[in-house]
Amino acid sequence: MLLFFKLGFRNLFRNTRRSLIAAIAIGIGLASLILADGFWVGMLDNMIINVTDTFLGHGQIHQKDFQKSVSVENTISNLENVIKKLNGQENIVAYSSRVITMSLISSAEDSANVLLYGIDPKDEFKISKVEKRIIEGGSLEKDGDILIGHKQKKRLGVRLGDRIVVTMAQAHTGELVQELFRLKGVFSLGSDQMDEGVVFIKKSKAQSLLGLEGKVHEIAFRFKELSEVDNSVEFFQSLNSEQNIAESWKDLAPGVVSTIDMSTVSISILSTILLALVSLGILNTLFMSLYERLFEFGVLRSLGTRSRSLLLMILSEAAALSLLSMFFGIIIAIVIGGFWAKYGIDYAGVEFAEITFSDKIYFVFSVKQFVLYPILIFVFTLLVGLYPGIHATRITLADALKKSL
Amino acid sequence: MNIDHEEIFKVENVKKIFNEGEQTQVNAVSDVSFKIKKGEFVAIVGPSGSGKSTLLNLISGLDTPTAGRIFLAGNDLTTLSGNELSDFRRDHIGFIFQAYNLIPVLSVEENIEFVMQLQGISKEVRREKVQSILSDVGLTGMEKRKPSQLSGGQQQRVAVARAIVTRPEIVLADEPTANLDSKTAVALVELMKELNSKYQTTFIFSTHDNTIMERAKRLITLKDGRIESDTIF
Repeated sequence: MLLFFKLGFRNLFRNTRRSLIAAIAIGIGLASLILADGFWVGMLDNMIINVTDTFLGHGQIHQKDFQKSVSVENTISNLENVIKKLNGQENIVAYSSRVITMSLISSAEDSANVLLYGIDPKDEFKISKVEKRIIEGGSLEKDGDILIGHKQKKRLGVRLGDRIVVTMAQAHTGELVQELFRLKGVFSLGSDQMDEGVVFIKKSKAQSLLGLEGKVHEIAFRFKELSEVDNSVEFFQSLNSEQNIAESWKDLAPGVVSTIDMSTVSISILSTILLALVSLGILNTLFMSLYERLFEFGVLRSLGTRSRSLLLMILSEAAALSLLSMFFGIIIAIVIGGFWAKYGIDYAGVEFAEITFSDKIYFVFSVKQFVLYPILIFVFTLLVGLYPGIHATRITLADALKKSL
Repeated sequence: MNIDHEEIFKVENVKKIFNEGEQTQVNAVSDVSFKIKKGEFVAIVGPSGSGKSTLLNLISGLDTPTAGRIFLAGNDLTTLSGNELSDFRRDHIGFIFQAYNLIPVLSVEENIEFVMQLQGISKEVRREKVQSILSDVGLTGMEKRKPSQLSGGQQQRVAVARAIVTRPEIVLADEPTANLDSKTAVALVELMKELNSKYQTTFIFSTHDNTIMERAKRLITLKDGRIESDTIF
């Protein structure tokens, strides 16, 4: 048994140059698998962070019917109790309450229907990136300040300091109220929906205009870590009541979750294709090596080597090739992946699944990628090696030895 | 089966037809019968295409006859399965090939002990036998060399050592001197003759080489797949 392992391993280095080229080619295939996985994980992380950190938060609380109707009357019930629970939860690091209503904004040039958010800048900017993404002007300071997106700014044809009239319907009475605001800042949140359809004013002003003093429609909150969302089912349940509903970002952005699921399928398909290519490479190498040594296999069989031992020798050769490839693949993945994990790839401005990346995508690597994929390559190599191996055991000895005996 | 005690080998009405029933049908060996006794030094000769190599393939169990029976050491080779034939060759037949055909990734020592390893012989015994046979073939001190570091004649001596180290009943050699110069060829044939006398191992060659023919104790001449003459000297 050991004899054939030894033979298999030594045979790999009979044609060192060819073996090295084959091992590097297969290693590149393995590295591609690891790098593609690292990139996808990094991209998905980036997408999730983009969605949660920009405005959504890790979770939100609403009155049960609010999201369906966006009705001004549907404010969060027992607000004090909800705030108390949020304050009492150790792993909640920030929360921001918002007043939300549909409104009409008008400039001298044009008008548009938008979703108006009344926010408290001090709380809001701990949870979202609105302040960081102000690309022109400044943040909300006075009651008469308004922030709009850069796309809306273009549509309304306004400049900083220009007047914008906001029209909205009051709670309970439905009476229309109008108020004059001055454009204080322009933001770019990287989403057309936000940059065109959302405006921000101070929460106290919105409450006053809507007749909703002390009431809010939405509370967005953040955990210390995003991963805590999945471990906080009880906390979410404790916030649920007959009137209120607490949901995680996964419930609030199902499109992102679907994209992640689709991406998982995509990476599986990509992995399968890469594995298939790698397998063909291995198959080619083994067959090339096999065909030029048919005579030698004939000699081995003549000397009394059983077909099973011959198969073992060829599989050992495949295993040795695989181990060498794994070495090269892991080195390549560490070097290239390490660079991209540190410096990232600049995808700022690139839109994918309705999300515009605003930051670099940093490759994310885990032990799994460096263990699972090499094991897969090893198993695939052995499986692929079976074909030429069995082929070699079935050679007709007289034909294989035609040059001599 | 009726085999004389000294009779190691018996070929009975062996026939080999390639592409049977087709237009390209070839009767490579036709109705060949002969017996070989223990310790004989036999050369099978004949022109190209006379059936020498096919006959050697048949009597070594590398190929199966279309008809007839082949007995070696009391076993009918034509009834053995693939693995049984492998084991049989391992235990009873030594091979010497035209192009030496040593395993290039193994050293001289490892090549010689290859069959012994297949037989499961212990390392100590193997090494002892290797030293002894290396001395017989005049290659003492070369055990760690790789085949590529040896001359053609030296490689063929290693091949002889590999074939005979397990003391098989019979050694089959196909044109063993074909790739050697005449001086080396003579030396090799003399060596095989010496080993034949020393160990009483039966040698059967297929050859064109006069060096072997002149030194053979028996000459079986084939023509068109049939035995034309069988001369014992």
